[in-house]
Amino acid sequence: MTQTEESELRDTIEQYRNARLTRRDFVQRAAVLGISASVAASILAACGGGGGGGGTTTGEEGQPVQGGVLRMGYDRAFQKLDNVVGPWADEPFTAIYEVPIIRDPGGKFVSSVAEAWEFSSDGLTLSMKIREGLKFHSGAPLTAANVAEDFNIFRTTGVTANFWAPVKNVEEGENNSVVLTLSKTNYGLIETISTLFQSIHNEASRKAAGEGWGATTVDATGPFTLKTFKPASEVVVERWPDYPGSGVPFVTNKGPAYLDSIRWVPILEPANRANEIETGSVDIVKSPAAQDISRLQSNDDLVVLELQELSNYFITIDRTRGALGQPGVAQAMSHAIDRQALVDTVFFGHAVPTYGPIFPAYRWYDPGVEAYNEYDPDKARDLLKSAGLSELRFTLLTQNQPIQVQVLEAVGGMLREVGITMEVKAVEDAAFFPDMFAGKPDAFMFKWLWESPTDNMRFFGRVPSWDYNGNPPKSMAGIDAWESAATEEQLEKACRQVQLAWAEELPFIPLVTQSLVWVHHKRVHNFRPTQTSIYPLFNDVWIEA
Amino acid sequence: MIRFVLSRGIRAALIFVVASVAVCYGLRVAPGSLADIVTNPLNRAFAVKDLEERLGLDEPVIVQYFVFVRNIMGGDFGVSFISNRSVTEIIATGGLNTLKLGGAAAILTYFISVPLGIMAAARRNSVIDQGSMLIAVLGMAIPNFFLAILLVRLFAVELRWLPAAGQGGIKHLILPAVVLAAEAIAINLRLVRASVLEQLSRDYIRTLRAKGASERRVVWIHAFRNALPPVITFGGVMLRTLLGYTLVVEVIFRYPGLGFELVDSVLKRDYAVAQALALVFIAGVVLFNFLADLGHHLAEPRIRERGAAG
Repeated sequence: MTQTEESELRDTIEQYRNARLTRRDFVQRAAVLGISASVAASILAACGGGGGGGGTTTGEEGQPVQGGVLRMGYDRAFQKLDNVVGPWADEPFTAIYEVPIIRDPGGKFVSSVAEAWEFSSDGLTLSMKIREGLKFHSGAPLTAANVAEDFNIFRTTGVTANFWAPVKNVEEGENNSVVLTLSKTNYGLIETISTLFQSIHNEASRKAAGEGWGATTVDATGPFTLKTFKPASEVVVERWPDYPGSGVPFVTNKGPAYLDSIRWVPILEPANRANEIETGSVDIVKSPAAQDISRLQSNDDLVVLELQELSNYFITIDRTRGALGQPGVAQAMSHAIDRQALVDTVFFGHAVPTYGPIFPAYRWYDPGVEAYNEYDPDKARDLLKSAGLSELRFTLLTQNQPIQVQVLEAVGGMLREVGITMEVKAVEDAAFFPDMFAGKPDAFMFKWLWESPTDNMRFFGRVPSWDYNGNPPKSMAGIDAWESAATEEQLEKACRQVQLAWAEELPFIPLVTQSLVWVHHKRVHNFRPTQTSIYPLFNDVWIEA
Repeated sequence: MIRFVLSRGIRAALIFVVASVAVCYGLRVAPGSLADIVTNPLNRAFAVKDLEERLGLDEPVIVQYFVFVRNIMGGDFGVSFISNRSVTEIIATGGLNTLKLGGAAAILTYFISVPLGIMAAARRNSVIDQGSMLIAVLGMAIPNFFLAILLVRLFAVELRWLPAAGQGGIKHLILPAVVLAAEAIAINLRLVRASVLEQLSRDYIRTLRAKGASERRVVWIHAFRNALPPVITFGGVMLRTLLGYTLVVEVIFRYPGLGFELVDSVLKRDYAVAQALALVFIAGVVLFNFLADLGHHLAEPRIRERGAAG
């Protein structure tokens, strides 16, 4: 997409948001700009309000009301809200933390804690100008020195330290800026810097808090402060009255948040999520059971928002292990899988098939991947025959979660049709991760969830090792191109290269991307998850008394 | 009596020691550790080792066990690695909630099953008897998680009489307590009925009736009193079963009790919390068994006499 087209798309989104365009107009204009209907629908869902949305608008009418407690039903038990070494970034992250830069609903990077950033002409220096007048929840001022300190923590001991490898130095620059010096060009660093594990915090407070960081203490810059953290029962955040205001362009409320507080409760049983939103014990619920979604959509009191999750289910097989490593075996398995049937039966239509490693709503998704891996059981049998295999048997390890087991039961049935016997061993997470990373199972299934999908390929290509995943030359070359891209154009080109190579070589076999479904009561306004972020921002959200 | 209490006390202490070893060892030998759960897959290689060293998880299990025992002896149950809350605080808040839920379920069990069981026995083959047995069969046959879904759909979603989940007033206790009590009501109902029926066929009942005692007195005083020992013995089993089922019911109803906390802490390998809560549950079971033995001892004159003679 050219810059002009991108600008037109942004205008179109803005007009739709301001109810100056109908849905039909929006889809027609998007088509002219080369946007598929499914992506346009995702953008519409992300925008929420706008022209004539019927049952799926967020209802932006009326003046925001200050106050109230927003009750959120979450689909996981909480982990520590630790932005440096936490195991998982849960939903309250976007209420209490802010990232340096963020993706807007169209996928373009825009300001947040940093107001501007620029690579030097040789691509070896990245300068970020930090907004003036910011401070932490504790009242301590936030300067470029704090951000530089955080970046140094992230690149040495943080969750994404591997992705920071090309950065050899970070220091405070002039005029409240941070200067990152790179050992080689790495434009993709911007992708890493926008993820939740790069949220800015007060390192002095983190050191003082010790193991309490993310549980009893968070000293960051988001519009809410942490009040209660009880991982099995609730997480509560309160409005920060001294919030200096959001630097994110698509957040319209530039002052403190409207809500008094937000209370998250974990609803671990999928069937209960619909019950709780229908009975009003929560105002918003995430990920209701797929079979309940159509019922919720027909409820006039509720708004259902459906996006593509920034994730993908995939199967990896150990190519170092006998028959599994034969050329064509992964392709045979892939052709044996009817992904659309998985979408229709397991996810009740609330998912999309994936023939490449990245979900289709991603801005650089390459539809060329769809030519690979189509459902063709005859081709699968031929490939197995060419590999000299009359039958194939292996055991696959997975996390013991109902949806994953259901997917694998269906996949197992499909593989059996072509002579492949897959035994599924479902174990709890604590048992799954050590075995997966040690490369113990014949095969495993996993779902990645991350805002920068190509970085997932970088990471999961090496899990447990490139050897395990067959050392795919084209995919590895694509990853190298991604890791050394000097411009956004080169980054996009590398992303497409990785996708096509991945679809052909199948270091892992992509299956489906499930929908990210949010349901909220109509009394909740301005709740706007976007297609480009894992969780929504909360500063604009308000609730009717 | 003192001898009885002492012998049961020593037995309970032994059970408790063995259980503490089993809990500590079981959690440590289960696949995966706390470090596997609380580290991000993206930086796992570095973080797991670091965390295991910091938390002493790289020490032999026997060393970890004695550290655990030493801390408990000093009144220190430790701190949750996930929430950084003291385990004592978790036990205090969650324990109170579980006690409320378990208490409500126990009350419900006895208030329904005892009178209904007696009436069913007294009017054998009547509509009351048939109806009671139908309740008993359903209570035993329907899995509690399925019953929970049915009751939530009916009373929370359709009728809007009761909340679907969470914690609050008495209204929030009703559905979880009913689900928790369902199987216990069913079993207890059958037990009371059978036990009273057995008493009603005894000679002394015939004698009482011949002497002109009212039927109400015969059934509700004499037969019921003598039918009590098996009901009391079963009480211990029932209470510990209720305690076990809270693990399921609290998760389904998002009720913040010890069961919910225990499941979460075991899945996350939050050792300090999981060990302490498991021991609390074990202590509960040991206590209920002891109370059942004691109740049986007091209610059964022959046992009491044997004890006195011995």
